Amino acid sequence: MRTILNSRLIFVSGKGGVGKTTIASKLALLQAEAQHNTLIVELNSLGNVAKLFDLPSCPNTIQVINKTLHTINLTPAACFEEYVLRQIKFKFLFKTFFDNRLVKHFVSAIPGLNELLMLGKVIDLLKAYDHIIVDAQASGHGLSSLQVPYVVKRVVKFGPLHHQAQKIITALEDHNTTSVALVTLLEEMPVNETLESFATLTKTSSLHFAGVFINQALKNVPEILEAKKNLSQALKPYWQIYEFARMRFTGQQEQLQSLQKTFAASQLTSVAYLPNGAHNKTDLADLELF
Amino acid sequence: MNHNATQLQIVCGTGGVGKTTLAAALALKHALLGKKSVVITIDPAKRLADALGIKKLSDAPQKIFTNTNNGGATYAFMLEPKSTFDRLIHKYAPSPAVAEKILQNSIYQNLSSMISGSQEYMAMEMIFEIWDSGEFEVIVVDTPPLQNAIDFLLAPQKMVDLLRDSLLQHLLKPSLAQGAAQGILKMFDKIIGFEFLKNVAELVVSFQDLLSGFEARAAQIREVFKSKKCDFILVASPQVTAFEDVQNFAKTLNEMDYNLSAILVNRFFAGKVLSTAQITQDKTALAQIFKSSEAEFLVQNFQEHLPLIKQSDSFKTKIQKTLPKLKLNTILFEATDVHDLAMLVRIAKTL
Repeated sequence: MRTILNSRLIFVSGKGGVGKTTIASKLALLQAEAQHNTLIVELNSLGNVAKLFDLPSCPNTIQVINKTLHTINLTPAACFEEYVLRQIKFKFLFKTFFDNRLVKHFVSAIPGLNELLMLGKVIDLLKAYDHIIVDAQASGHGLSSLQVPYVVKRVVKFGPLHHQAQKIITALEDHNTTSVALVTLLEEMPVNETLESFATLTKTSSLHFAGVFINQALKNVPEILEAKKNLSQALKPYWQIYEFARMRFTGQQEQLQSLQKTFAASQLTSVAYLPNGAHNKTDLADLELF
Repeated sequence: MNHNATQLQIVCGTGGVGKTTLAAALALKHALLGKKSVVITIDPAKRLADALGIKKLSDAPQKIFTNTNNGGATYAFMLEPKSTFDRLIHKYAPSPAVAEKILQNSIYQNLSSMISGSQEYMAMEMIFEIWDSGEFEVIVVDTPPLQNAIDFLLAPQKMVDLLRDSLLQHLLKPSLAQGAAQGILKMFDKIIGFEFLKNVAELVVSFQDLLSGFEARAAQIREVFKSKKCDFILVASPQVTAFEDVQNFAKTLNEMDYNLSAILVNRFFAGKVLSTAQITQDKTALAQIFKSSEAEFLVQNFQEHLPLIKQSDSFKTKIQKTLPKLKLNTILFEATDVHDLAMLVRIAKTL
């Protein structure tokens, strides 16, 4: 946990529905509380971070959560405009050649360009912030947006895109700056996917892997011997829900063991289960890491 | 045509709600009723294989369940987007040379990693191919995890639009090499790199010969999806935040003329909400049966689960109120993961 907070740029990835946004926001809150200027970045999402902090959805605009914590939801079209302006320097030229509709079309037609532009922008933003946490997109293949620069570098042998990809890879692979963290639940499918993502990550790149956040982890549910014969109808619900929690806890422990086979204890951080879920800033503050 | 009788069920929902598991359970339900069903997934993380307790799914539908009583059976199929696409190229290319040109293009070879939506597009193709074969009575489709469940349906059109992209085609036109257009070209070169753009444009142009085949196919798929033979099933978790998604999804499907027939509320936590007074009273009673620390824990644990019960109830009520025509099915929250066929069959029986 401590080591991951040292990274200036953290990509939070994982299977859909495991709580990437929650964990990314929690990490950012921790950084911001330590008085570091922190930014949470979403990559062309539905604006989930803004929602969590009760802000309106404003794509591609820096939104202020508090003095040390900002958020932005990057869009490919805006990143494209910025990228082009840097190359050609004249805004009027951009306006002349790329009206909005055209830009949108153009960006979506060049394979991999979306991801390259957004990742490039994230790296530029490092100049303005102490820490950046990226809530990486949910997809079937969790690490895909991080893999795009590698694919582009392989496919495009020279030219501006090749340079851009190389620039991004250099920043991503700088272990003093960048880390990747995975989020999982202690259930079979997310755990399997975490192990797969980790294997892909180590095989295809030299990104620094910071560790796994185990969301919705149940704290100890002790074994209680059943006293069935004395349980009245009114008290049965307590026992039923206990049995449910106990079974879930034992199941979680099994999954934890399979994570422990691959990861060192220092790479695993648990996030306590909140039955109501984390829907706002107060919930986030209540989230306990252990 | 025999395949006209094939029923199609598309299982949608955001990531992590249990689509894969429930799609498999739905397919099994049809087998329990004596039908021959197949469940298709394009999930690259091999999650269906997990849920079915088998390690690897092959390239062709694989039998995973036989109902000896009535001849029903379920097959599972995991889609491999690249090989599906390759097969299509061969099928629609006007000549083997054109097919070869596309297959050798370096961008094409990395298509699935470089173009989002290409996997969804391939899924649609595969569904249609299996539907067209008429081999199954019911096809259940597990859609890929997307932020927006509806994106899956838009993917084929997006792919066709992309291939139609006129801007890229113009890049290859000789007329562009002269006059004012030269400035534009220079700028493209500076921004993207002309060699790469040419490569992209070449791919797009090679695709033009195949486009009419693709478009005809996309239209056929749309027709099947909108027909009475196809219905959509939405999977959701009973969370406050999910309600809005459900409403939007139902609205969009309706606008697009697709048939949303049911919602499966997964991880439904059934139970009774007790008053604080009642709980205090019960605590005393529990303390007489269990050690005091144990009684304390039982009560605390119960209270911690109350929000789940409340959320489940209010979610169900809200859906029933706002979408009264929708068939609603609740699937109870299981303490253990669904990881084998027996558990899936048990769930199937409740659907």
